[in-house]
Amino acid sequence: MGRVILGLFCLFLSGNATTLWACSSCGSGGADPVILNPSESHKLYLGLGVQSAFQDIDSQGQLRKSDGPDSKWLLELAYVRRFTNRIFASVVGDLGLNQKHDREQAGVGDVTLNTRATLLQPTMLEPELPQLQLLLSRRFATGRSVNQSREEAYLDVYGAGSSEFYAGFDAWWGMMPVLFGFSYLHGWPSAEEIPEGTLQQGQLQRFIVTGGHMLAPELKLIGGVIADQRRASELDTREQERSSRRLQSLFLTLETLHPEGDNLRVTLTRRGVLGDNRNGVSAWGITLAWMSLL
Amino acid sequence: MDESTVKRVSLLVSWLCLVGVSFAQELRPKEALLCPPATLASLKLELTQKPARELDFFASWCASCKQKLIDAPEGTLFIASFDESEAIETVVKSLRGDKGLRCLWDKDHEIVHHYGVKSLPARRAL
Repeated sequence: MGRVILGLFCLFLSGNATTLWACSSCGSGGADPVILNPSESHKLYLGLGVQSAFQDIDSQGQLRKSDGPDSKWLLELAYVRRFTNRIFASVVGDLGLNQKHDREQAGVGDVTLNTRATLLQPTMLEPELPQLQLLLSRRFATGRSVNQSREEAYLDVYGAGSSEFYAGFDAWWGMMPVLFGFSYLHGWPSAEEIPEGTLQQGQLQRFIVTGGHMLAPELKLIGGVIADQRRASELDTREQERSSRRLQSLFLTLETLHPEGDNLRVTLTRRGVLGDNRNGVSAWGITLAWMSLL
Repeated sequence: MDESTVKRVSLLVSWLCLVGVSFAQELRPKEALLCPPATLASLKLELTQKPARELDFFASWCASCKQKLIDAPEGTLFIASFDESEAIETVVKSLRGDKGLRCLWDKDHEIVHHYGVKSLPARRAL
């Protein structure tokens, strides 16, 4: 394993990014799915993904058989637009399709609004500077949640259950021989009314660490870790014991970077695979995305 | 106001301040610039008075553009695009020093839209 990592490191040193592309969280699945590069004014994104091989992770970190769908498909549509040289925003919506044996059901997921402001940008004179962006997002709970489910195996669940407000930052060294960066997002969920009372999810802390390399002038490979921690939830202001969550996931993304044409991205994810996970879900996932510069 | 709301309001205020700074930087009074701002109309007038062989589009974040700026072939008019004045001035001053550069800044993206420039570096023969 050590030799593989060393070999990859040597490979990474063999090239150099010639312009500023992307960000730390781009292609990770952990933040807004599409951003604008400095010369871009607006873009359309269409992603099709599937997750399967679900296993529940209990409060002790033990894997259990999942009661949910066998597979979850997601069709994601996003539009991103620039407002100033430093600020752009995107709107993201999705449709879900859940399958269990020979049954399936489709529905609308959550809608998210994202904004990014670029505070710092590297230049040709200072490529060692990071691109530093601030993130603000709002997810609206438009999709049915686990607590609102009326179907067996949660086939009608496509949303998170509560709206959530996110703020964070993204630091990305995108003009170096080795591409690397990290992101941090903090989430403040709203309360959700469920039959048992008022459920208040705990605040979210999300860390994303990314590394990668330009395999060719217009082909990028990145991978990394997404680490989520969510504090214990409260029901009618009473803290629920052992309800805090922890989930570490891996991702690997291959993306084309044609500056004036359409681009494709393939992302592999492995959720709940690293370290100490609690009250989460383990799954494999793959997403194929198409991005078109308008 | 609970802690969560205070944090959200604080973040929103910080965000608004950043937006304000961003706009303020774009409104800063212009000194004698190496790459003065230009419109499509002023570019056409410039080319009428002093023709050029080609337009070379660049930005401070475009590392591929660096060598062309250093070489600055004769007959080339450089157009700084998708960028901010401060960064452009720093790069041009550093790379060209006293030699100067025939350069304009496409502040409102009129020139890139007219010539169909969507990525950098880009060159348009005239």
